[in-house]
Amino acid sequence: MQSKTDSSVGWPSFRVRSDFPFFAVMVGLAGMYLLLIGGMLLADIFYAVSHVGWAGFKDVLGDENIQQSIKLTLFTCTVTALLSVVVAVPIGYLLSRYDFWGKALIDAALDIPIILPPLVVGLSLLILFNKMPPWEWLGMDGPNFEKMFSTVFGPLMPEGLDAGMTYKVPGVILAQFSVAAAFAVRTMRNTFDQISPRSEQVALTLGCNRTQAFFRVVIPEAWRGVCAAGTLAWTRAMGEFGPILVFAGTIRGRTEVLSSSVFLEISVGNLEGAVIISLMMVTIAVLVLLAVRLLVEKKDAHAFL
Amino acid sequence: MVSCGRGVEGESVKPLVMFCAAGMKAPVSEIAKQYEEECGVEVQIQYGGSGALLSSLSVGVGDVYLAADSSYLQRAKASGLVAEVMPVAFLRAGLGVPVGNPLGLSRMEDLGRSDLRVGLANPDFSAVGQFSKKTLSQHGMWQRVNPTVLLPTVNDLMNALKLGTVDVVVCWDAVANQYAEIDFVGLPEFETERKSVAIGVLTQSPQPTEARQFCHYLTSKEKGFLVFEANGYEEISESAE
Repeated sequence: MQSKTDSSVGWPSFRVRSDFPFFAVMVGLAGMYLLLIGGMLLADIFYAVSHVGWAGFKDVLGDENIQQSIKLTLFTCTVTALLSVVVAVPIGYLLSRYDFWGKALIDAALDIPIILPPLVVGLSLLILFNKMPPWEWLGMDGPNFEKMFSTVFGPLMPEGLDAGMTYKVPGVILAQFSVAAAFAVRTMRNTFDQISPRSEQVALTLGCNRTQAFFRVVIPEAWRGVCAAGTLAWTRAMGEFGPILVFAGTIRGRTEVLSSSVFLEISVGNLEGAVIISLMMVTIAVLVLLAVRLLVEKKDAHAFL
Repeated sequence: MVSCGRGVEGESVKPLVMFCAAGMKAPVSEIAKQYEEECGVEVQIQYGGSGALLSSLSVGVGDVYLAADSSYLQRAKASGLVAEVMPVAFLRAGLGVPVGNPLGLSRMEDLGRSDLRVGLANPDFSAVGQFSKKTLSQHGMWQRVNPTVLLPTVNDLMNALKLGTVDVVVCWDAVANQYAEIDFVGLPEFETERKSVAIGVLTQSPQPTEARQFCHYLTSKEKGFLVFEANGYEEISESAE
């Protein structure tokens, strides 16, 4: 029998003095994954360069459809990131600060867009907007959500943007938002969990009301988290494809974002083009991540001055 | 009669890999199941637009390619991807509308109406899309049609009609007939040229004999064609193609 007071009993008595094995295993495992990521990128670059050369990159970048696709990607992802932050901040805050009945259920529901297969998200949006009869249940005749949306928001749409959701640009944004917001919510929840409610409470005792305390104390404290949530939503939105394919279609030059461009190129057998667009997406994502990191660090530096 | 012609007894045959036009899923999946039961050879099927599949033939590995339009097989044959082409069944293109045709659409000109939501198949991916573009262009309609959406396959068009996201699509008769919610409206402009579904054995097939046997089974009047017929496809007469 082991003595309860002697905790070392049961462990091997021999002990490696060096930390080398520990780091060798850790770095080895980490390296395997990094090698996989690097390998995929290298394979893409190798394939594209060996098949069409660097001139192929110029051709793809010069393609009118691709330029339009890049513009639409930057636009939709930015709108999606902003919308995601706008809903993620209050949800994250409320979940982090308050306990209420049904919280566990809501918490789980917020993961649904992450868990669901992307095609299911798209199909659900399609049905929600086109086949959901909100009035029939009330015994009335009325338009579906798609028609309601077009009527209400149609006149507000910027020039060149179609009114409506299904197979339209707003549908691209909604499809991206449905998934990206869930990631932003997770990030904001973690952010608020890590911020002590103390300074907020102090602000309240010093005469701030809830709104003032939130915007003057909590948000400045959570600034890094807000940026992280926005960036995550942005990059997630760029990678989104399944819901867009089903809900917004992949119409060349109209609802085509970079992820749909890759699909369109693969479908017509232009693997080189698809690979080049993929590499472009990687570049854009890295640039966005770096830019936000620089911005956040700059702001932090100012805060300490 | 079509025999299974199994090889030496006890010799196991690897599953056949088939690339199949998505619109033909209903009859082909049934025939594949029947073939496996009768002949003991599994057929693994990858569905997609005829055009999209043709592009992936050069990259993927497979045995048999079935397209909704024989022109794809002619193209595949010309580029050495397919050895032998066999006709399967006829298809007619026309309008697909919700059952009962609530908007009373019957003319090709209706596709140019701006108050209608028109769905077409992508001409780069699918046979019906390619045919729609060609025929509409011949009648000077292609520029006037402003489709609400271009979808990858004829099945996606059927789903769009079912969900009410479009009012009218251009599709194959036999495919529309598989959906209770969808009616097919024939168009005289589309009648002039009937398309034939065709199948071919890929030159890259590691088991061409088994692949050819399956093609014969699928096209035979006593076996595969019965299923096509039950699904509303028309027989190819000897004179055609």
